Amino acid sequence: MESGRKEAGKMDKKGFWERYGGWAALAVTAGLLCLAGITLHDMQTAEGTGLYLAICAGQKNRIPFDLLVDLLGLSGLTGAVFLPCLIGRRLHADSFLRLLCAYIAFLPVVSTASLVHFLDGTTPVLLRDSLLDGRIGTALLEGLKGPAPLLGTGLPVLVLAGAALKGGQAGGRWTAPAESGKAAPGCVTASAAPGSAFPERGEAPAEGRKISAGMYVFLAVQVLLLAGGILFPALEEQCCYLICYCLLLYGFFLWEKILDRYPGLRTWGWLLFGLFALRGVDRMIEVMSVYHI
Amino acid sequence: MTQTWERRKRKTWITGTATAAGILVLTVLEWLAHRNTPFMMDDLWYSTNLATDLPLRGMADIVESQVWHFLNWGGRCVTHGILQMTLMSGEFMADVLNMAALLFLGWMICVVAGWKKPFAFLLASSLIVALNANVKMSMFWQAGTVNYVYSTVWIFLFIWPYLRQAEEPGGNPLPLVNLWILPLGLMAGWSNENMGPACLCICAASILYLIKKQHRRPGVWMISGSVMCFLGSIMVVAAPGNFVRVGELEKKTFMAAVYDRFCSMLHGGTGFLFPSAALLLTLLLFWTVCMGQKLRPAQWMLAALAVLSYGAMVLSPHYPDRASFGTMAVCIVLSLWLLKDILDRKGVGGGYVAGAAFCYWSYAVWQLICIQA
Repeated sequence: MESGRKEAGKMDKKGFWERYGGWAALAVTAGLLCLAGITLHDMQTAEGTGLYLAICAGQKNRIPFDLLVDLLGLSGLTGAVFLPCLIGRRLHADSFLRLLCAYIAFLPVVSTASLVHFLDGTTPVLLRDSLLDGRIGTALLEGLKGPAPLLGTGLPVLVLAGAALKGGQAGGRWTAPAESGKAAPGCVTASAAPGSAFPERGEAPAEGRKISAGMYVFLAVQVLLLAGGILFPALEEQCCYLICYCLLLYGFFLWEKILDRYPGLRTWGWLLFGLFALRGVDRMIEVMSVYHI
Repeated sequence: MTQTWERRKRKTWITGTATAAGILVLTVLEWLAHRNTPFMMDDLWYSTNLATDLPLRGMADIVESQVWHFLNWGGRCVTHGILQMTLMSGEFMADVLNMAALLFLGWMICVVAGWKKPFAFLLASSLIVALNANVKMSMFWQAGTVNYVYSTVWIFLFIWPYLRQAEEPGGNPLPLVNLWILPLGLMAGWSNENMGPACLCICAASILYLIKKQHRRPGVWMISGSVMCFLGSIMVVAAPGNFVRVGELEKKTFMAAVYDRFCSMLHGGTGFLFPSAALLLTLLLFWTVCMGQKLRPAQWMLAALAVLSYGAMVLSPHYPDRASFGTMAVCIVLSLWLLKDILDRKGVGGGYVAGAAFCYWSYAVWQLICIQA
């Protein structure tokens, strides 16, 4: 009787989330996008990006240009989050929200003014002064300042998430699913060694030491972007953004695969993404407070 | 068979050498960072007798200073008393003591996490730097080192026997614990405003766990240590100096104060503690959801300690980045513990863990180089 009631309670709860979960995700997404829009507007009006474009176009009224920059920025953000969902065929509100949370938590803030100046050629793309002076150490310190924090937050977490995807079990409750032999695109493969059901502790299986071609391309792109940021100060911000975005995409596809493997993460994973969302909100509040001073 | 043994031997040699090299590089850089950070800011003030403004000449001056401090500035008399002693010893000696405290903290993290291996020590030492919200001001500035590194060492020394008892309720207590737990309890409680009371809650939780769940009587040392921790917490929180300082702050409306606290807690949790929380949550999800395991009582207590020490900051008018050090250290202990448990299960490639460790180590090295550049 008691267990029946518990089961019914569970079903009710499940029904509730199935019915309203999507709406909740949409509401949070709308809230975050709205806050992002306000932050963008605050930032670009303070930097005078719309005003600069209006002057360039010979117009006196800056408002249409301000609105244009807002619109472009927000559609750029939405597109950057939506496209991976489309490509990965993950057109669900929760996938979009997960990627949006990670995006606002990790992606560096790119100044709209510097972007416009870069695009219209006002900022010349020159070699770093310290490199020309032969101060390689200084150049590295300056050029790696943007991407270095990734080593302390995003990257190790991504590596550990990779372990969760590739892990298997010998005895106990951790079960290796049937597709453990399949390699994720661009992932280091670590499938079970032939002859033994699962790899032993600390041992990578013999078959799993190959790195896929996609991974080589991914690494090469990252190295090129890193080099671009170190060599040319004008590209530093953009290269850092692209490095983070590439890693974000990698993390997104990795996480979606992990979700297929461990459905329990569909619920509990929101703890992590909730943290990302809060981090994003905090960063946006900080940006707004800076531009209000 | 011989080939496998040879391979394993070579792998062990390579891993051991890499770990030793990693520890060495980190230690040398930390030592250089200590040497390159002079006494500054608050250090200069604490180098004087706070009551008379004359340079410190001996223990009597320190006692007089701390009485003044307790009545007029704040309750952290133990840490600031020790700070004054280190300042009196001179820069070189202070750096030697700081370095010893830093290495000891790395080791204590391994001890509390129950993973006493060189690799764990390397990981702990790297994480202390890599996850830190303000490396320079919490680890190399003299006042910061004593307030955060030293105090975290004695906090871990104090809670370790309690967690150990919760893990093995039938186990023998540590030698002479009845004696050394008393000063440690007082020092842990008196350490700072958030970690002290949070430690007290953990002691109470472990005693309750023993009584209610294990139906055992807690040792005398558990009770006496908790009482001393309670006394220390009272001293640090209820010091008249705290109220003097709060009275000097600008008065705000209730709503403005609530908004300020909200922003400060949000930034504390998702800014200063973000790397630690992200690592801990990832490992928690890995262990509980992916591997289907449960947290042990002592691990729950550590998680509670992290949450309480963070939550207690809501009572503080501001949350400086370096104040997240204690909570970060607790997160590191729990992360290391979970990582050890995960590695103990078969099927997790050690390569992934080594990869993550390498990322943290590289970032720690980067941070230490940046401090000195």
